[in-house]
Amino acid sequence: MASEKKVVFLRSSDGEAFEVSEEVISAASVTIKGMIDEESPSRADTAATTTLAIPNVTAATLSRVLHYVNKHFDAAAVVGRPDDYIFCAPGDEHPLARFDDDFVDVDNDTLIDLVHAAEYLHIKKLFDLTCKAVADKLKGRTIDQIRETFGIVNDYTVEEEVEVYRENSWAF
Amino acid sequence: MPRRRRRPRPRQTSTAKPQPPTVTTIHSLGDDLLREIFLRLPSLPSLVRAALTSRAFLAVIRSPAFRCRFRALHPPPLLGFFFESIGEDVPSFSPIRRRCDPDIAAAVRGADVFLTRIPYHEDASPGWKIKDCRGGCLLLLNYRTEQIAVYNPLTRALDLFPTPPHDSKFRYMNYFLLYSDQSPGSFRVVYSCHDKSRVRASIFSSDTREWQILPWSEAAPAQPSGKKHWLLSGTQVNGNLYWAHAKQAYMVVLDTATLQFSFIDLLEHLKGQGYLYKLGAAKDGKLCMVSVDEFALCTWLRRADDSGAEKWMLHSVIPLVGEILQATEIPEDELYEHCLKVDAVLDGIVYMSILGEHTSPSWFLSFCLETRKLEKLFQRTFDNSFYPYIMGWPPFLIGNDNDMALG
Repeated sequence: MASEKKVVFLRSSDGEAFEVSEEVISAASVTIKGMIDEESPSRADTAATTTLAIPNVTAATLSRVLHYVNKHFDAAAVVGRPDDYIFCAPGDEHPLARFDDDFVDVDNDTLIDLVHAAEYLHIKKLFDLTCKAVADKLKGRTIDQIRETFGIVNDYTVEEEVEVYRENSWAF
Repeated sequence: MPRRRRRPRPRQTSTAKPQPPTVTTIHSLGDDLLREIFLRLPSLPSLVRAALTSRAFLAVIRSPAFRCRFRALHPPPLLGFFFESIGEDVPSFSPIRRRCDPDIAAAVRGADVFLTRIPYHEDASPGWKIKDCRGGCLLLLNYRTEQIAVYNPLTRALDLFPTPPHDSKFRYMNYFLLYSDQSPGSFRVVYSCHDKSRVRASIFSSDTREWQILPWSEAAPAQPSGKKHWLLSGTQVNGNLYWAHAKQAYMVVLDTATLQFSFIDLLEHLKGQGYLYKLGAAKDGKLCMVSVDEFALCTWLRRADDSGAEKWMLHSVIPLVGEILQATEIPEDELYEHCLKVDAVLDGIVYMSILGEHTSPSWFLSFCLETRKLEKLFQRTFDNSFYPYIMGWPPFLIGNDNDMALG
């Protein structure tokens, strides 16, 4: 029994179910570990698999999250796949730096969905990664460029805008 | 990729974009998530730009708690140094160029580092001298016109007022700019002077726009006779002003909140040697002292000993020879023709210089007491004084959720 890997199914808000190792998702997500722990007394001696509803996360996002989780939290996968290391650039801080960079190289809405999902599922590493990625898209841009990039509506009145500009002309 | 067990949705054509069930733009992020993202911006200039994009973003970060968290996670936004050279009527600026942060570069480009809003008087030699630099504002003094200017080169806010009434019986010591993030837009300026044994301060408040002359301190403990200047140039730390005695092992302290004078001890081996140490603030804001021992830094903290009396206690000795050789590329056998000098200790960062012979350029370095990281800033010659210019927390980023404070 111990050698057999338990799996759980996660059902997205739009009804798709995804299979993931219970051990891996428990290590990654505080929220799901809590759900599994709540369920476990009732299923201790049964072979039935558990399906957990994840009402706040769509299939598209959940699929990406699980891709990340399997890369980062499945110890066997990380150790067993040397190709991850081969593709590391010399300056990479850790073997999955390149993977992380590619993972967050997505459009803004997808990235923000991932922030929401990482927060809801309580996956700290993913939360840090995605928040940092949004911050990286904000930095190094003028105020107008940030508004354009994220579709932010300028809601200052004309008088306020003049005042803001007068005191912070360097930022525009 | 994880296996999908079933696909309940109809297949979509490749051109049709799947419509997410909820709005997932940046506006969907709540205040807490926005703060988490803003905390991961690299520097204060990046934060200012992001905050200014909309009123909603600005409102999210206008809290003292956010300010504390952001500051704890980021190094102080050093934009450069203002230098004063003999014979120059206005200070000059040297930017920090090495950092690859485009938002800091934009702040440097946009700051009025030429101080163009300060009134210029052709006959006003010796011109404007920097007396202090706090909260991103310079305190400038013009001896000839007897004017003081408090100027923020980034916001270009300028305040001009006259110097306090001067009595030539007393020796002028220092000017200080007292600035608090709690009350943006207002400041105080302290002018200090002394007679043979006592210190007196005058305080200008930007709210009352008047100089208030405080009572004299009590007589200082021990005085060498016949010396007119018995106090060294002072330092401001955390709302207290400190002046070390020129020969004795003590300092005069003025608490600018209570306006009370007191005296504290100085380490015996540092007495009369103002060039060997600087008082300053650690990252937690507490008073610390950094002294130089050849190419090592010694840090000292005020701690209570067994009897409960506060004393300077050695906190750490940090040898820096290796880092200095590496950063400056000074040949090892020439290092001892140079000397290390601590210039300022601000927010846990030690600003220091490596001086060689007087004609050769000096190295300017910073050292973080927390991370123990030495950073090479730039190299240049100078013949007088200089001030690190650290961007202040902008007034419009300060406030509570109920006011916009844009006026």
